[in-house]
Amino acid sequence: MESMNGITISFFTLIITVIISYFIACVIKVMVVLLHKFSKPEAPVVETQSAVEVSSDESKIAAVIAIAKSQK
Amino acid sequence: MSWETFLSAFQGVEAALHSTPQMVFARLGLILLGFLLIYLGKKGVLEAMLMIPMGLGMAVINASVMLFDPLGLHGGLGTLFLEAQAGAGPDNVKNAADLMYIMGIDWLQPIYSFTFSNGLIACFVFMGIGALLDVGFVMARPFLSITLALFAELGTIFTLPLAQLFGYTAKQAAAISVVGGADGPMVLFTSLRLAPELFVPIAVVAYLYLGLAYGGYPYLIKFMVPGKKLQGMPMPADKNAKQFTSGQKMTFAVVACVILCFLLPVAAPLLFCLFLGIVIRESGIKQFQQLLDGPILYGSTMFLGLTLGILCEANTILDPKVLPLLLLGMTSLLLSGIGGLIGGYVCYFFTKGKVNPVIGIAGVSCVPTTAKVAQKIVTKANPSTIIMQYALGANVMGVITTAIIAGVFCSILK
Repeated sequence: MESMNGITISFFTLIITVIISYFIACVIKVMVVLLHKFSKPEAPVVETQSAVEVSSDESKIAAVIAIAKSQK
Repeated sequence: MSWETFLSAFQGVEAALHSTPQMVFARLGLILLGFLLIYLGKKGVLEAMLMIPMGLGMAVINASVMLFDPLGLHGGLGTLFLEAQAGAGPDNVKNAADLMYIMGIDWLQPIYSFTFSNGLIACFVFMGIGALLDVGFVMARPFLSITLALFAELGTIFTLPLAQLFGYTAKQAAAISVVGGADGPMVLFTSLRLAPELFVPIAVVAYLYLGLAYGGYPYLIKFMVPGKKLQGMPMPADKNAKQFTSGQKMTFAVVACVILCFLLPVAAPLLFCLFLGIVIRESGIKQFQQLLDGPILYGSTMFLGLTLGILCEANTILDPKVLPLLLLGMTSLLLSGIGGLIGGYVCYFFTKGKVNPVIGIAGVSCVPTTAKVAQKIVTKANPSTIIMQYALGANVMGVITTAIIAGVFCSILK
């Protein structure tokens, strides 16, 4: 495979990646349906802080994440 | 007292006198670049957590060159920090004593040898990132997230043939092109697997540009998504979006981890570490979660930045093989950003204007930087618009698609 030119390798990789990625997306979709069908209702877990603190507007971003989660 | 004796008291000056003028200017340039990285990190223009230790390491390593080259690798000049080439040739290690000597040759040598050059630090960072990721965003909209993430791999796909034009082999070109995935640990992992001889320059270039992405992508977004109206376009609340329990997220993570490791065993260590972080986050074991998203993530990030800065010695950066990497790395990340935004537009048109094209940038898997950049731009245009949940979904999926591409590269180019 190493003797193939770059365009062929890239194309081949792209095709495999698209197939695997959408396969994973399908698995997720099926799992979501199955999980909602068969799992018992559970109290939503209080999420932990999930932002990496890097910039001065961190608190605003954290607030946005919290609002985003509550809107889901 | 002779002039040489006097000079030997000031070894930095002595080393400068033994260097070529080009090398002296290169070192000065890198010292200034180190200062600039620290300044821009402090100002929040670049990723502070990476850029401050990296900038300091870069400035100090180029100032600390002295007449010291015990392995005879750099024409008599070296530092007491790190020898990336130590043990590179099998002739350098003949017995246990040689090995012990090389392991203890410099103070950062054990950290480099035992965590950096074997990919352990990349795995640690991935565990920490996993502990921060909420897979609920991906589970809510898998197809949107995956589509954006795939478009944002444009740089990875296009840079490979481009790098071959610069004379790199297919393996080296693949390792370089993974920079476009904007996933630092994945870049470390792939370059170690495919092009260990270029591991140091690829890692340095990748992290340098990943830091710059934080400052540069907002300009790309403003250029490609003109007008505050489109930038701040609110996305309708997803009525189908479900609230997932931690048990459901954990089940998803376990199954996805096993499937991906089965499909791509070459990338299994990284995939395992990422999903281990996710599983621990959702398992509710707070002690483990705090360990991963605290000491392990931040400790690894600090030593990663520091070691990368230390590796930016003028000798390494001025290697003729490295200079095209600077161009290819930038092209790769730029193309990925463009691809992500094109993906944003594709989703915008397919959903008849329901998707804000700015979230496309979050498909570039620099977690959580690109998602934050997208939200920042949107908030500036329209403070009431929240796209973070969509952006994080694309972001998490970006990590997974980059892992898939890296796994495919490692599998087909072994």
